[in-house]
Amino acid sequence: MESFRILVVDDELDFTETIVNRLKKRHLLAEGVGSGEAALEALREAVFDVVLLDIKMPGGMDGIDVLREIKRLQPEAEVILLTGHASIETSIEGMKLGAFDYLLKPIRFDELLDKLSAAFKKKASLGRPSLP
Amino acid sequence: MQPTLLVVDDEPDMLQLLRRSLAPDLHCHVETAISGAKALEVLAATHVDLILADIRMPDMDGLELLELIKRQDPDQTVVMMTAYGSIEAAVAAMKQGACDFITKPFDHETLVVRLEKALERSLLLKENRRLQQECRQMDSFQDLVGGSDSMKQVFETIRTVAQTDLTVLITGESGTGKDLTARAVHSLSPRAKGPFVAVNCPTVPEHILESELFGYHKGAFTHAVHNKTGLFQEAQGGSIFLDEIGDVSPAIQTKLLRVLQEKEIKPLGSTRTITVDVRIIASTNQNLAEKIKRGEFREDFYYRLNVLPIRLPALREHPDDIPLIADHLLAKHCRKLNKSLRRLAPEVLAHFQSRPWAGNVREMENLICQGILFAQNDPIGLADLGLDPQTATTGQAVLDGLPQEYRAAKQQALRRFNEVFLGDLLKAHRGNVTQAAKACGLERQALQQVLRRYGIGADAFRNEQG
Repeated sequence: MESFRILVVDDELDFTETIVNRLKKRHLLAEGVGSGEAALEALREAVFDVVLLDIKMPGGMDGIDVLREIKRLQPEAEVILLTGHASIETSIEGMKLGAFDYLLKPIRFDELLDKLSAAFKKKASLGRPSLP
Repeated sequence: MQPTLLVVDDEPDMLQLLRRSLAPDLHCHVETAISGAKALEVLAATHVDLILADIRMPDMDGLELLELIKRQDPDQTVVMMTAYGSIEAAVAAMKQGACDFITKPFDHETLVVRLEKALERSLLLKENRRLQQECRQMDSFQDLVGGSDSMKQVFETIRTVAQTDLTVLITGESGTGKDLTARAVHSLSPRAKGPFVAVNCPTVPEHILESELFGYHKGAFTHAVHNKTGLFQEAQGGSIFLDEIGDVSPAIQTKLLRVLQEKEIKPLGSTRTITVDVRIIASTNQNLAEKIKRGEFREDFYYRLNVLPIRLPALREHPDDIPLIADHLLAKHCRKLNKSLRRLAPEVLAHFQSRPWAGNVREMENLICQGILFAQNDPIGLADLGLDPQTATTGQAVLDGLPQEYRAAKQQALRRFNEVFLGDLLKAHRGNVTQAAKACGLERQALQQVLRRYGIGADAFRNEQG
């Protein structure tokens, strides 16, 4: 589990920092960014196995667009969508675009770990991607 | 043909409404089911392009139904609907493979647009499957299938050999396609417009074989009341295929040698020879060199036959072709048996890859025919082929409880094999020996001989419903 890389994308910087720190304490490789644009930049630089993506980040790119772009840049990356107040329609749209799962905020950390380990399991069964 | 939509909902009014409104708007035929169980019944009996299923239903809910549908056919397009939409339910349904999720009350136009999209997906998948099938068929050659190097080499040899008029000897284990190869050589040769006459040597009793091949004159023997043209004369201008030449007696070998050398035959009881213009294609599954050593096969005859050899590899020598061949046989027999195109479950293909295939492609053909006939659902599973999923991968079942002594063990295993194999075969053909023989590639008499040897009566299968 240690060798998987996670990218946390959320405009609430406190939230991002907390999650990244808690994941690091579990010896997971995690990084945090504060916007969709920053997330795409990070994904152009490095390969991530899982992206935790807040789907509602006001002021920047629409979450669904970010998801679409992530799937284009790194189709093997598993995306777990996060949101505080999403509609069913957004969640369906997200799943249709290939999101791996969905988490409602406020998130429970053990639930997040469960979803992460399910995503890692899927990745392991498909084989690890290599850096381009 | 209009696509078929299956609507599953526990409210009869809803079913009525959707049937009436969706049929004209989607230009499709609408089937309805009042429960999950009923939906599965419809699916077993009809080909459905799209399923619209309610989530909240008594007994079996929509998600359970979705799981069962996906287990049977992972490609089936399913749209879920519910009046009690929650993100959890929507995500769960999508993760389980639903193609869309619609919340009630829905506006009719939106529903139609989303179902149209789902239907498009389904039709694209179907088209994709058909094209893949077509691509695979391009790896076939005159009904012989294979994309592996060894099969490509065989195709190349056939092409080269066909252009000459020399004698061909095809060698290969039973079920590797010697008959198809002989036909390919003939149909690609300049003699293609002439007749192709096939003789399965071991099934014709020796004393008849000679008169069959060369013909006879009236009065040649007791029952020869008129002249009879032999098969060599019937093949004039074409090719004669002598299948299993290793089984003919030295006496016949001598006479065939004469045909090969002189290009002429002498009907029984005749004093005159007839010149024949026939190309000889022979085949054997035996090691003729060994037979020569044992004095059972004439060496000079062998060299006359083996001018252009074609060796067909056993199926286990080109396992890469197994999925391709399986697909080809499946499509061929679904057509022949007038069934809609089925697929093989992944576990069947996995089993096929590890099976030793002693009977080569013919063995696979028999299994697939059985699967098409007995499978209730698509894809065809191991159980439909009469295989136990637990032991299918090891082949252990055939060996269970056999005696230690080799000969006795072999005999018992053979008996078991014959009982199961022939039992299934007769069941599939409702005890019709002629049809059963044709399906398994044996002559009627040969099959009857085997049935007698193992004490299997075809009568017992005549009244069974196949």
